[in-house]
Amino acid sequence: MIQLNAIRKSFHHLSVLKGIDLQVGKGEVVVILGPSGSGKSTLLRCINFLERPESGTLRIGDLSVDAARARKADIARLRQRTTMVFQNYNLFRNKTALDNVMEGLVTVRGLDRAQAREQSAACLEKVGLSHRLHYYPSQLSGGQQQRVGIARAMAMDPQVILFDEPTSSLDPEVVGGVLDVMKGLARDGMTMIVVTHEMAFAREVAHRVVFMDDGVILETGSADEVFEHAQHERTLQFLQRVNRSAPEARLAESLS
Amino acid sequence: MSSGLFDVPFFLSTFPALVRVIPVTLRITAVAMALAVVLGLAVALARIYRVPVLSQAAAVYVSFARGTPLLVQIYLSYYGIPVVLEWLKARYGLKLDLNELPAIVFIYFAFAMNVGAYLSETIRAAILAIDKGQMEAALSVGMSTWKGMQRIVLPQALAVALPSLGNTVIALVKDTSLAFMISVVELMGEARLQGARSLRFFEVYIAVALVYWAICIIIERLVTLLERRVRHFEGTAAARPA
Repeated sequence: MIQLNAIRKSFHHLSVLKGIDLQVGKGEVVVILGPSGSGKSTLLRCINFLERPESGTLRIGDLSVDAARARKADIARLRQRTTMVFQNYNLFRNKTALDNVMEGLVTVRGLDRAQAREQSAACLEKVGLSHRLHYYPSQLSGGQQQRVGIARAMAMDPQVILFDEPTSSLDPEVVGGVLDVMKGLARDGMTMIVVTHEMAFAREVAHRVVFMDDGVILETGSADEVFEHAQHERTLQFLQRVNRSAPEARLAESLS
Repeated sequence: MSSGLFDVPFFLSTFPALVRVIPVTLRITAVAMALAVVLGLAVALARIYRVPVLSQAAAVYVSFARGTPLLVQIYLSYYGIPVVLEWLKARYGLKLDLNELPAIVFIYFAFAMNVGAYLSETIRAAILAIDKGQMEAALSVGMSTWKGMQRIVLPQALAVALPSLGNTVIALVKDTSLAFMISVVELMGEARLQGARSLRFFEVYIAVALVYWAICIIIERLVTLLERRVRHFEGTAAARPA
C-alpha cells in the first residue's frame, strides 16, 4: 500500500538517505530503529515532504509521486493521505485541544464546525482526554499534549500515521500512556510507521522492524528476527547499547 | 495679565480648537498604521521565505526608509510623487487631476512607507519567534503554508509583537506632528496657527503637548487591554495540572 523506491536526500552535500526502498502493507506497523544521525527521522519526513527528497518515487494507495518532479498539488495530495506525530508534539499553541484536532477537518476537509467538533471529540475520547477538550496546550502535561497530537493525526483519517520519536520528550512515567494509545491504534488496523527507541513497543506491536544506519536500511524483518538474529555487526552493536541503557538493565548491572 | 509668564485663560481657550483637530491626527495614525502593517507583513514574508528579487528589493527599501529622515521622506512624497505622476500622465495620456489629491494622501503614503519598514523587522522577528514545528504540524495535516500562517503562526506572532506595535503607534502619533510641514492641519498645525495668531506660543505648545500626552496614555492603556486578550491562550501556571 505504501511503497518507497530509491529515496535519496542530502543536506549540503552530506548524503543522509542513500536510496531507501521500503514497503508497508495496509494495517502494518513498521518500527524504524537506528542510531541518531542514521536518517530515520529524515526518511519519515520525506514521506510527507516536510523534507523534500531529491529523487525516488513514493506511492501511497492510488497516488504515485516522482520526488524529483513533485509539484505543489502532488505534495498536497500526499499530505492528505498522511499525518504525523512529532517528538515535541507541535500542538497549535493558540488553540484548545479540541480546536487542535478540529483545525485540519475544518480548513482542509471543509467539514462544518458541528460535524468536525463531534468527530474531534470522539478522537480525543479515544486517547482518554474527554475531560481536557477546552484546555490550551500550555495547560496540559507532556503526555496529554502528545495524546492530543495523536488525536489530531487520527482525526484526518489518513492512510498512514508517521510517528517521529513520539515518546522521546516525555517523562518516563507517562510514556506508557502514550504507547497504550498507539497500541490501540495498531489494534484498530491503522497503518503506522514509527521511529522510536522503545524496544518493548517494537517487540510487542511491530509487525516489522527496520534497522537503519548511515542512510541505508541494514536489516528488516520481524522483531524477533532483527533482535535475536541480526545479520550486521552494526545492528548488534546498536542493540547492545540500547539494551544496556534500558532502565531494568541498568538496575541489574548496578545490583550485580 | 496678557503680558504675564503664563496666560491661564488663554491657555484654556486653546483646547476646543485643538480637540477639534484630534480626529485628523488619529486618522493619519490609523490609516498609516493599517497600510504599514500590510506592507510590513508583506516585506517580512518576502524576507523570511527569501522570495527572489522581492526579498532583495525589500532589504533595500527597509534600509533606505530607516536610514533617511522622516521629514525628507515626507518632502519626497509630497514633491516627488506629483512629478512622477505628471510624467506618467504625459507619457501614457492618463486622465487624472493631481489638484484633486489632498495633501493628506502624501502624508499617508510617506508615513505608511516609513512605519512599514520598521514594522517589517518587528513582524519578521515575531514570526521567527514561533517555533517552526507548529507550521510543520499545520503542513502535516494538509494545510497550505499561507493557511498555517494565517491560522496558527500569525495570531501567535501578533501576541509577541503587540508591545512593540504599541510603541510604534505611539511613536507614529507623535511623528504625525510633521504633517504640518506640507500644510496638513493636524494637532501641531492647529497649535502653530493659534500661536501665530496670538503670539502666545508657550501656552499653546504646553496645551498641545498635554493633548499628545493624553492620547498616548489612552493608547498605552488600550494596548495593555488588547495584550491580555490576545495572550489568552498562554494560560497560567495555576491552571497547569501536575
